[in-house]
Amino acid sequence: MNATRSMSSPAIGAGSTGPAPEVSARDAMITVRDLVVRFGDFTAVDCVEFSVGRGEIFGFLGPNGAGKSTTIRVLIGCQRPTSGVVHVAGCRLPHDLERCKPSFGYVPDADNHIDEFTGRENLELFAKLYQLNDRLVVDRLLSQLELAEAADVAVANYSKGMRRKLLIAREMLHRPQVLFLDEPTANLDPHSTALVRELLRQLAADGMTVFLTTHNMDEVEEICDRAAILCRGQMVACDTPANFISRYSESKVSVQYSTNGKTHRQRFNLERAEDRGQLADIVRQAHNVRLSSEEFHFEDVFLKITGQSYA
Amino acid sequence: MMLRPSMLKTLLGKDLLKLKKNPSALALLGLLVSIALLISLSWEDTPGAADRVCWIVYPASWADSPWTNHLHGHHPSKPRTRVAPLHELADAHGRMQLPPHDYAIELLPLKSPAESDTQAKVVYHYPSGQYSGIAPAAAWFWSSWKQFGSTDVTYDVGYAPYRLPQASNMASLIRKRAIESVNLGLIATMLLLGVQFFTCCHLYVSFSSQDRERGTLMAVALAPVSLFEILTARFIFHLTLGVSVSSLILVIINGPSSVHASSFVVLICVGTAWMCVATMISSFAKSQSVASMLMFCYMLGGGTLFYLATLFPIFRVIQLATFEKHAVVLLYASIKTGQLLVLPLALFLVLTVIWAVLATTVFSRMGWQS
Repeated sequence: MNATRSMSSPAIGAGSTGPAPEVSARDAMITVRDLVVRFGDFTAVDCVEFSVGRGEIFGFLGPNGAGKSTTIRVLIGCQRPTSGVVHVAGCRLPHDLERCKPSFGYVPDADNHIDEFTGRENLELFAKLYQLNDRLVVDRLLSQLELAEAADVAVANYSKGMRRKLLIAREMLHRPQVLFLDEPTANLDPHSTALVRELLRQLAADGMTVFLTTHNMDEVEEICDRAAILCRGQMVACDTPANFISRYSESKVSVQYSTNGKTHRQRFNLERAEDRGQLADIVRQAHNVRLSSEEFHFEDVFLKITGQSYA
Repeated sequence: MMLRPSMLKTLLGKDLLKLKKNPSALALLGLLVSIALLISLSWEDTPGAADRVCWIVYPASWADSPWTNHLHGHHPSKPRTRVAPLHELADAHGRMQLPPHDYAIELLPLKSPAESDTQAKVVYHYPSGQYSGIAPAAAWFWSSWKQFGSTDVTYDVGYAPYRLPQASNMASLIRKRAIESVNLGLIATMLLLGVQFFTCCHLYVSFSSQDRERGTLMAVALAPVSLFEILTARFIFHLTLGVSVSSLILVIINGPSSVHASSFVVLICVGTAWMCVATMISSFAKSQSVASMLMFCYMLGGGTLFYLATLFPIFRVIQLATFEKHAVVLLYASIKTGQLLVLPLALFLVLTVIWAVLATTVFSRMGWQS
């Protein structure tokens, strides 16, 4: 297998601009080939293919019901695929699940702590399951995620954000090679969000592969090295956030002007001739014309791609 | 299928900590033990002696004789003995009756009442093959005989087959508190089955489905722990809990000396069987509410089957495939006589193995994912 590209079936505008960074087979920590998952007649995941390299932060995006969670369930060995090949950290799943378990961590979208236990007891339980003898690991993670003060409080009394951070701490205990996170910053306050993002960047810099799903497009833009967009079970695009933006960006301007004593506000896409003509007319005829350019964000890319896909 | 002691220890520690933080479960277990304590305290005699009675039965013509007066005045409480004239234990035809599982040493005059009763036949009544049960009372009887110096009475020893009482004479026996030991055995059986059902089935389903609903089970299963280790740890935990509480109740009700090893064998078998049922239920249910419903259906189904079995013979055959049918018999027999009933136990074990294979398969396929 040569260099792999994270592209799949009916790509919208795939490859029209600069190529995404490629993942060599040797560095690939996650490899998915022709993944299909069907539930009866319903195809949840349809011929998805991608690879994620060591130390990469990979965003896995898509509208609700696109097949993200199903794909993650396959990647952690909880869902048997209908067809296709999945490798995580060199282990084929779900066949090699037992061998693969120490190599990955999974932060689900809903927390799954033992509520009666304290935060420390929860972490200590998993530290023992991972046969970690260093007791300091638990203390270090608790303070790293700013949970040290609440360490001996029952998790039932934790806020949603604290539960989320405890979940991330738990899955970092054994320093996995691959970390799967399902909406890692959901319910977190801005401070904790920044903390978690910084933590993920550090982990990736240390060589951990981070695979995350999120509905927060700022997060993708901020921390992801690459992102894939899933729609109706098919992967419709995969690239770096910067490439996505440059490929799908639109030159838009906002115009505020006055005619007959009334103030108007309009947006124009300069890539369309019709819009350019209208804008020229306004500039010529109206008074007090004020032009301002609009920034194009990853969210716009997402909406554009998913919108086109659904159209 | 490898079992690592360190993993089992960790998983057992988790379950123990969960139980410690579950006051309602602890309260219910405490309640069951308290019930046992109350039953044993409300019992007239010491719990150990309340099991079986050896009746010394003499002919009515011997009443108020120095010999019977001596027996009345000196019979020991251990082994538990009672002295009574024949007419107090006789049915309408004058034949002696005994409460189930009690023994008797019956004195029969060999001559007619008109003549002097200088000869007697001594007849032992005991269940076949259980001479050891009557032996302590017999030893006391003969020593007392010699001590009283009844040399003028010659005797002959015989054996009579064990006889069960007829319903018509039961009331008088109940008045004599002889039958109460049977009731205690039944109460103990039901109480122990209740404990085993609570710890090995209800609590098991409750803990497992809670873990599954929260996703904790999946989190543990995704750690380097095999599903076999998870199941084994659960089995060990709930079985230990069930057998420990049951032993306590058994000792409280029957006394330490009357607890048979066979009772533990039956308790372990019953606990294991119900844990297989619980594994199956919690594997099908993804939430606690669904698990509770399935549990209720299981209990309701069992009750209905037992009721139908009283009406239609076909259901008696189906009943043979239930754990509950054999569990009551096996446990009662082991508590009362210390015997292991081979055929019901073999059938019970076959059923348990079938359920265990099914439950393990279902659990590994669909029982741990959230």
